[in-house]
This record gives sequence, structure tokens and C-alpha cells, in this order.
Amino acid sequence: MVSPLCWGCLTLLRQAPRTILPSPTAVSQAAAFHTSAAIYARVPAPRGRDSAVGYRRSTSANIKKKRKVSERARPPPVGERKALRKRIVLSNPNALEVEGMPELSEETMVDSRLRGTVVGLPVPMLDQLRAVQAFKPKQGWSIFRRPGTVLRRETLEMGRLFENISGEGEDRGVVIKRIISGQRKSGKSVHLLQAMAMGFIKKWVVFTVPEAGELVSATNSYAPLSDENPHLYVQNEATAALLSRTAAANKAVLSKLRVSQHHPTLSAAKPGMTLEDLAKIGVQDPASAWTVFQALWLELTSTSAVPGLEKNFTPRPPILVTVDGLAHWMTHSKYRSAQFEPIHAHDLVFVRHFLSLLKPGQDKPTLPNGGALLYATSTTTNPPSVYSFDVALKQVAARHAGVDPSSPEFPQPEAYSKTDPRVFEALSSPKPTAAKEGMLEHQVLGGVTRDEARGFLEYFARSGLLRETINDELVGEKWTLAGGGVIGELERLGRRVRVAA
Amino acid sequence: MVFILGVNFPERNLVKKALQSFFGIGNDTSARLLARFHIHPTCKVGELANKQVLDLTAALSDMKIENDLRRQILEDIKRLKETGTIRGRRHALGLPVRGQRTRTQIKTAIKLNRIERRL
Amino acid sequence: MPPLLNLFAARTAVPALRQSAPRHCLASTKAHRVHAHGITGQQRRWNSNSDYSRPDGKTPEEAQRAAESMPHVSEEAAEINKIIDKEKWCDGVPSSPELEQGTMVSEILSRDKEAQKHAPKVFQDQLKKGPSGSRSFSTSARPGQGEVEAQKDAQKESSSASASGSGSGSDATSEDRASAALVQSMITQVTQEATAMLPPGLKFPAPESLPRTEHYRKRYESVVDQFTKLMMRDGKLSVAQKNMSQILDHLRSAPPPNQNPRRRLLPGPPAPQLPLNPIAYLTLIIDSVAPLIKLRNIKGLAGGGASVAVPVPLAERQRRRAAIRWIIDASDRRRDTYFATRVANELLAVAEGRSGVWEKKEAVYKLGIAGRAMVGRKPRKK
Repeated sequence: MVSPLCWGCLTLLRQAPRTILPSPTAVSQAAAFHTSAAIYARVPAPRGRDSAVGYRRSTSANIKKKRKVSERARPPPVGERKALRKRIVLSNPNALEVEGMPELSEETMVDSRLRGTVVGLPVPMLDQLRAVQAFKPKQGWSIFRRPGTVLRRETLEMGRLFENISGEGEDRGVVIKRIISGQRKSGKSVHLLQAMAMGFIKKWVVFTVPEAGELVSATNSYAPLSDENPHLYVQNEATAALLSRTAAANKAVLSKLRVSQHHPTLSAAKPGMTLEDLAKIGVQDPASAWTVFQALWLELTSTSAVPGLEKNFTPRPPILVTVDGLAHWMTHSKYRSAQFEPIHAHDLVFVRHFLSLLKPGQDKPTLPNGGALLYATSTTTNPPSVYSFDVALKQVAARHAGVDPSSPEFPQPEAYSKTDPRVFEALSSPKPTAAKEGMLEHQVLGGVTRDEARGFLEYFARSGLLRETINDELVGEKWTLAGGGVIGELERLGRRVRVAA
Repeated sequence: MVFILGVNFPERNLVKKALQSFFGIGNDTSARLLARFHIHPTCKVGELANKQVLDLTAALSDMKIENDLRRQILEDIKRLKETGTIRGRRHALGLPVRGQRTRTQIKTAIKLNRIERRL
Repeated sequence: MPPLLNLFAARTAVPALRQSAPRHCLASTKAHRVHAHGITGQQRRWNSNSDYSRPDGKTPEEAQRAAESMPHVSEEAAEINKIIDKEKWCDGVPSSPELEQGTMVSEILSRDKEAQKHAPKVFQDQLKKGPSGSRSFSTSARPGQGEVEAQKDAQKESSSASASGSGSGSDATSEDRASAALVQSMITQVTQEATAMLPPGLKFPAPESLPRTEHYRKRYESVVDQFTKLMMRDGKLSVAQKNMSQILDHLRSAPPPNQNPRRRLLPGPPAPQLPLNPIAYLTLIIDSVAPLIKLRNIKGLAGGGASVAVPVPLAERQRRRAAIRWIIDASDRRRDTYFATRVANELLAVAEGRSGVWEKKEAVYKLGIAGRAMVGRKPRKK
């Protein structure tokens, strides 16, 4: 049967419902992807109160939990926490005054009869020691009346060396170079402190790097040294800080020395100005700090004046350089180059300068006026563990003992281990040609002897902190508990209060 | 207060964080930017030299960040949809795009995925 | 068996004794023989139980007389049996201890003057040097060796003295007299030690009272321990211990407290001495504010549903706990940066009577006095 309606009419018919159905644009653009027609989808029911809850939300009674009212709303002011953390207290007025405690002086620092006694640091020197940041916050200075250190064997030996270098004998002007290591709490940093104190007593110029890690932890500004050396980086603020430490601590010595060399790169350095003023140029203008430091170093290591400036020249004193935390300098720093490659610590000119001192000088000693380089591997600042450095230290010890580097006894890194050739290169200092220059040594600080431990514990007892009779039994007990006289552990045991039953 | 790319930052803020406040700059990009101009990671905005600020602004203006980046992402989604790809369809349906399961845990997709995606 | 040991001392020291009393060897066992020969000057070690050989405190002469007496009959019989039996069992086995262990060449030489002349030079030198050769038989130390050594020296001394008296030897020099004095002092020391009667296993006299804190589990004073554990959050004991040591250091270095006359600390050392003993200081502060009672709310005592606060006595540890909790809670209101500083300052405030902890204690006491009529009453059953 043929429909009376033609195809055209049917198409007309289909147009009709469009008017009553919602317009396709109103449904969704996405409808084109659906297999079922969107227009037949159930019209969503108008939402009531219940359905206002979101998808998969809990419908249970939602009682707002009481928020904890924070009573301490305001945090401490900016910088206060750091200041508290870094605060150094050197005196406890409650502790007893130790009567008859000798002071560190020219006589006591070499007096071997005083071995094992605690000597006080002279009060006028404390400001200098603070200026070079010799004290560390966790060294326990705060429980005694006044700061004092125990004269152990290594200290007296160092005192004798300092005496010889400053004296008039044949050892005058000798350079000693040492890397000091030892287990945790064995007194490495305090050893450096003693060295600084002796340096101040002997009127040396003291340069210190109290935290070697701060130079490589990317907390100081850095910049390429120059366009000619794009791979070397200078840290102006750290250098300025070094200059300010040096200028403040060695004020008495530096103010008597005058500029006696030409400094073409530094126009501000006038001939005849004191070295203290020279250092202060770098402090005031950190951008020139590195140039100023180089100029200062040149002045201090000069043995004679350039022609024309002789009247300004006075003989330069020996130099003491201490670095605490050497291991930080033996790996990549946290700085990045412009290509986002990590910068090796040896590419920082500051670090490079102090490491280059370990090498023997070209034609004259690295410190022509004598002095000491004491670099300690600190354990307080969480140093990185560098395998190459460990092996290199063994090599230093072997080389000093006279082992030939080509012999099989010479310590070598294990095969297939990842080593850093730059570390070996930096610490491989051959026997120096200059007679006055000592070879690089590796000194290991161990525990103190029982006699020294006894003197140390007596100091605790006389300060009123340890309330026991100091006899051999007690000393032996504490000495053993302290891992064979590790002095930091002894200190901990000394301040521990033992309570009778 | 220092202007970087027209935005004002207080001096005590870290430069790294200031850079990361721009849309399209995260941890890695900001670290690379800092290294490019020899700025150490703990540098504060107030410590920047003038030249460094200018350098940073110049570098940022060359990068596709903020609204340019947003526009590009939206265009990419739209293009996916218009070419009829599965990914475009999933965006439009508010479903996960990269083959995740849909039985549970698709709240993020429900919240975010749509043609005119909120960025 | 002290007599045996002394016997060997005698034998090794005096060669004449050794030959005159060969049958004593029967009583010896192999180990002891080795022992006797192994004693040399280098090996002296004062061991912990020095009274091993003579618990009865005999003098050396007495001890030696005891040593020369015969062993017990049964012991001797057993030894003889053993030797004879061995001979019976198999032919090759030597039957006497001498054969069994071989004879020391030096021993033979010492007896035979003719052989001495033809002996190798090494042996001659050794003989000239005397019996205290440097060669050690064994490096292990044995109990009682020191005493044996001392007696041996004494014997040698006496024999050499007699030799010089008869005029046969002219080598008794002043050195010998000096060593005689040394030996004498050693003997007196040994006898003194024996009279001191150290219990076995002790090297030094035991301390009168070992401090309780020397036990490693109780190495902290109990108040300190309790305080530390109450400060601990999230089970982080080491953090709490660090805080505790900071608090003690703070107490140590803070100026001594000016006491409030109304709120005095318990009687103790005078205030200027307190910082020198921070633990006593801490204990004093805590004990001073520790409440004697706590209040327990009991329903139905006064009739109806109302609850009444009834005071309950506290033990020492409970009292301290209450005080420590109060102090830590009060310290939260301080504004210092570090927790340890806050607590330490609160402790100092308590010592000076300015802390709110005192008011808390007084409030508890007031309520306790009010509710004391109810102590001991039982709630009525419904």
C-alpha cells in the first residue's frame, strides 16, 4: 500500500517536534559523541535540599569540629631563632671560680709541666676569638665561670712549634701544614681554637674559615670571576666576611703594617695606608672584596718592599690559616653554573686559594714569613663522606712517612670505585724544595691520656660541677666510658650528675 | 618592593619562590633560571642587583608563561576535541584522559576536565 | 688446694728440694707441672682473686711446711695405680711422669756438673743467668701466680743468702739485698691483701654503695626520668632528652632564685647553692608544688545525682606527675622561642613563687578541705 503522504511531507512532519523538544544546543556540545540521543535523556529532577550534597559526600550530620585555638599566634621576630641558635655564652656566674687556674700565655703554652691542666683563655683575647668565630655554640663553654682549654700533648707540641716559628732559632719562619682529623668529639675544633689563641699571643695574623661548609652550600652570592675565566667563581660576600673577621681580630697587628707593594688592579690601595684600612675597603665594598683579599695576601707574604716604598715596610709576621670542615671542599658544591652543571668546590676561587696553600710554593715557601696551615675535618656540620678524600688523606700520611708513591704499599683507591681526581690532585703535595717549608702532614687526634683526663675532670670538680672525689678509679671509669678519653665525651660525663642511692 | 615582570614582590621573599609564583614556572625551571644568572638559591628578592632583575624580567618575557600558556593549553584541548580523538572526548566528558580506571577515584577529573578548563 | 700450689713454689725455687722430695711428683698432675715451670718474671700479673692460695692467712713458712707434708693416702694410692696400670696396658707408654713428659735438659744439667762443662754455650749462659730465664712456657696467666712468684723469689733469696753465708759464693751483692727488701715488701703486701679478704672475683674493694644511677637502665634520676617522659611527644624520647639537658643547663646557669616568703620551696640547700646541683634544684621545685591530694568526683554521696569532690591521697610519683603536668601546661603560655626555655623559665618562676602553678595547688587544697567530710563514705546504692 502506498502511503498517501509523499516523502517530502514526511520530512516536513519530522520537523515538527523540534519546537517542543529542548534545542540541541541547550543539551550539550558533547552530544555528538553519544550513541544514544541526548534528547531522550531523562530531564534531571530539580534538586532538593538532600541532593545538594556533592558527589560521594557523606550525608551524616556534619558538625563542625572545634578548631584548636592557637594561643601562640605570633611567631618570634625574624632572625631571633637563628640568633638564639648561634648564641655563644662563655660564662656561667653560678659556677665556682677555679683558684690558681693558669692563663694561656707565652710561658704556659710551652710548659710541659702543665700538661693535663686546664688553662684559661685570657679575657682580652676573647673578643678576638669571638671575632674569628673560634667558639662553636655546642662546645659547652656556657657551664664554666670562664672559658678554658685543657693542655694536651698535641697542644703543647703545637705551642712549641709556634714558639720556634716566632723565635730566633733556626726554625724561624718555618711553615707547617697539617690536616687534622679524628673521630667525633675528639677536639679538632678546639685544637684550632688553641692554635688561634696561640697565634694571637704570638702576634701572628690569623685567617680563619670557621665553617667551610658555608662556602659551598649555595647560601652566599657568587659570580664568574671574569670574562677570561668563566669557569672560576668568586664569592664576594664570603670574602668580605673573611676580611671583616681578619681586620677585627688582627687589628693590633694589621694597623702597624703599611702597604708597600704595587696593586695595579686596586686603585683604592694607596701606598702607606695601613693593612687594616686596606682590608676595610673590601668590607665596605664587597664587589672588590676578592681583589682586596689578594692585595692583602700579597702584602702579608712579601719579604721586602718594592723599590720606592721601602720606608713603609716593616717585616711581616707569620700567618696562621685555619679551616674547619675541610671535607665540604672535596666534592661538588651546591652552586650551579649557567649551564646548570654543578660547580666543583675547587672552582670557587676562595676555596682554590686556601687549598693551593697546601702545595709547596714555586721558588719560595707558600708563607715566606713562616706560619701554619691547620685544616680540620669537622664533624659538627654534617660533612659529606667523600671516599676520594679518605684515600687522599691516607696517601698524605704515607707520603709523609716516606712511602714512594709508585710502591705497592702506597694507598690506592679500590679498583672500580668512583673517585674524584681533583681531590687527589689537590692533596698530592710532593716534598717541598724550600728548606723552610714543611711537608703536608696528616694529624689524627685521638683520646686524651688518663693523666690529662684527670686534670680535665679535676677542673669540673673544682668548678663545682662534678661532685665526686677524683681518684684513679673514677678517672679510669670515665676515661673508659668516654671511648678511651675522647674529650667531648669526657665533658658530657663530667657534667652528668650522678646521684647516690 | 621589587618589580619582576610587572609584579611587585616584597624584599624578604625568596627569588625562587617569587619566580614560582608565575604560572608555568616550577621548581626545575626556576632553578635553571637562577643558575643562568648566577643567583644562589637562597637569595632574597631584596638582594638582587638591578642588572639581575632586568635579566630575569627579560628572560621571563621571552618565555611562554601566564596567560599565553593558559591559552595554549586550552587551545590544545580544543584541538584534541575537534579532531575527534579519544583524549578530546574524555576531556569533554569530564573523565580521566590517560587511561585511568573510572570505577572509583575520578574526582579530580570530574572537577577539572572540561572543554573550557579552568586553569 | 692451696698446699699443692705452695709445694710447687718450693720445688721450683729450691733445686735441692726438688731432688730430695721426688716422690712428691707422684702427687702432681701434668697441668701442675707445666704450671710450675711456666712461671717467669715477665708473667707476673696480679689477678683479681689474690687470696686464692691462702684463704686462711698463713705465713709463707707455715704454708711451705704444709706443702711438704705428704698428700692424702688415697690420693697417692690412686696416682701409683694409674702409673702402674699404664705400664700394664701397653709397653711403649712411659710409666713415670718424668718419662711421660720428658726431662728438661736444664734440669739434668743442673744436677750433673760434668755435663755442664760440655753443654752448649746457650745452656751455659742460661745457667749462669739463673733460673729466672726470660723464656716463657705459656703466656696465659693463672690464678695465684703472683703469690707463687713472690714465694719463689723469697726461697731463692734465702738459699742465696745461705750460700753466701757458707762462703762458697761471693756474688751476694747489694743488689741482692735490695731485691730482698723488695721481696719482703711484696710478701707483706700479699699478706695484707690476704687479710683484707676480698671476695672472689674482685680486683678492687667493692664500693660501699654503688650509686643507683650507675645502673644503665636507671642512669637518670627518677625525677628527671619522669619529667623527660612527660615532656615526650609522639614517642620521641631523644628529643625530650635533649630538651631535658637544655633545661638542666638553664637551671645551672640561671641566677639563683629570690624566694617569695609566702611561697617558699621545701627546706633544702641555701638558694645560692641550688644552681650547682641542677637535679636537686629540679627535684626541690617539683616537690614543692606537688599536691598531696587529688580530687575525685563521686556521684551520689550527698544524695541525689549531684557529684561531690572528695580528696584522695597521692603517692610520691603521682604527686610529682601532677606537679610536672601543671608546670608543662603553664609553660605553654610563655612566649619564649624554644620549648626547653619555656619550661625552664616556668620552673624558675615556680622557684620564685610567681608561677600560676602555686595557685593551682592552693585551689586543689581548698576544695580538698571543703570535701574532706566525705572521705571514706560510700555512695548510697539505688
